[in-house]
Amino acid sequence: MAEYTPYNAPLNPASFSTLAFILIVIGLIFAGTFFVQQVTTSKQNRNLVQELSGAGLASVFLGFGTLFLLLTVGIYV
Amino acid sequence: MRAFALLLLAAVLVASTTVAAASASEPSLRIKTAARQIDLSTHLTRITLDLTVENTGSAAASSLLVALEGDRDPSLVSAIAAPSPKTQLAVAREPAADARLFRITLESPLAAGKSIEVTVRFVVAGAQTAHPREITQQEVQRARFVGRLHVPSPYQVAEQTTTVTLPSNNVVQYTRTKPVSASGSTIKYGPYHDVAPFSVAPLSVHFEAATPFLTTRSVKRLIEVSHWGNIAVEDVIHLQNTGAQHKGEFSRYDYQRGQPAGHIVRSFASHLPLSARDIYYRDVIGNISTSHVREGDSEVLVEVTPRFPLLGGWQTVYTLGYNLPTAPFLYTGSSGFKLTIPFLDQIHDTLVVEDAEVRVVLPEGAANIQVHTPFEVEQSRDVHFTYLDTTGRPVVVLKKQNLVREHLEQFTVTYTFSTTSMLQEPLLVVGFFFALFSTILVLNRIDYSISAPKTKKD
Repeated sequence: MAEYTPYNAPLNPASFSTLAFILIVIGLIFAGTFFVQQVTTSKQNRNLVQELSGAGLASVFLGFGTLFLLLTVGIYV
Repeated sequence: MRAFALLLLAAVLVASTTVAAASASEPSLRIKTAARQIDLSTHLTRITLDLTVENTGSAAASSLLVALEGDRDPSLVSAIAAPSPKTQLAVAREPAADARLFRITLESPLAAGKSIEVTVRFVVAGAQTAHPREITQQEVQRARFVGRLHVPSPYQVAEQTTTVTLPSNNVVQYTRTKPVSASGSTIKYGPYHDVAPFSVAPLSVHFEAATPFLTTRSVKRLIEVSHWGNIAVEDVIHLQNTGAQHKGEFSRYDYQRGQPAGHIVRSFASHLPLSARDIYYRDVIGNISTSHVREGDSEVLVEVTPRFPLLGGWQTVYTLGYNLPTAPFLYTGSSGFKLTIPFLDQIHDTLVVEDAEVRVVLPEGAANIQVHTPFEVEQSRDVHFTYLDTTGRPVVVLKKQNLVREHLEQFTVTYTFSTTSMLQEPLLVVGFFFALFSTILVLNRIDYSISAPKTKKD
């Protein structure tokens, strides 16, 4: 019989709300920068790599932020 | 004449050996003393048999038979023997048509001439019937129990006594087969000597049953395991007062004014695990505010008051749910995860559940699922879809009928689960946001102008 130890979540559930707030704020800053860049940059000065990396960073932070928001409100996915 | 006597002797010898051969498969047992206790203090009839069984045959006996009176299947039959009271003996129903017989397999065979002390416990629901069948709100409920005067047994019983415990001192009528003595809330029958197997003499007790016949028609339990640190438990409970039917109309004034009759369910206490939090109690209408949570030393008590008092025949369906942390219930080891959780909670004190269904929702990607239950259950598998699921979560469905408090033990589900697949859900959200931003990127690169580009004139 294998030895078993009590399982705890990889992150303390008490920190989910703080994490959700910080991650979503950072994510919104990146998303905002992305949108401003999209609207203000002229066609000649476009840089696809820069735009994609901005979008990637924003989606990672917003994605994890949303997950922790779900966990905070009690939707344990 | 002498030759004839020898012939007769030979014939008798042959006859006795054939009888011995016939009973070799079923060793001849005899019950030296039998003490039976019939506890009628709640609507669950608890019968305890203390037997001293003697093997009067020549072969060793590896098992013995006990019988149960009445036409109700017991919710629980358990047996222990004297030298090792902690070891539960194996009990199996005998496929006999005329009686409820149970075969108890002894730990070690009982040698010829030896005796053993065996204690058998039966818990039977529905053995007591309300009599009269219908009563008004103010009347006192009375119930009748009909059984056998002598301990039902396939063996000869040398000496036996029966003690009947009632919920109160008020007895309407009881079988008076001497010797019998009644004092307070107990009636003692016996000792009766040398009773033949399967005596059919009746025993009937008609008594005041001022406790509610609260029966749980069904419980549907949903256990959702999340590796983010939560186990969500939700019970949908269907309760009914199965005592004497309510007659006439219900008067709220009479109900509120004095002490309501004992058969009416006003409120009851549900026992939840100690670490239960975020407890909710609601039904189809919405939240039910008449509940109180008290934390005990080893459990959380929820005092549940239904929306209306439950009179005879009245029923209610409600939902009681709570969250548990993973720590004392979910374990991790080299061979995977192990979930150990109670099959059901003690919804009320005289618990009897006619139909229980427990659905354990494991995280998406769980495999090699194995279930270990302390009693036999009907098992099946299902798939459950909820937030951020792609292929669905594996569900273990366990069904059990006729459950009592003694069944409220923990069961275990073991499974393997890769911790990295926990990242599947956040990555799904990340992918959604990235698709959104990419769409903006593409849309921004499309030229919407109606006129042709004027680049050449610049």
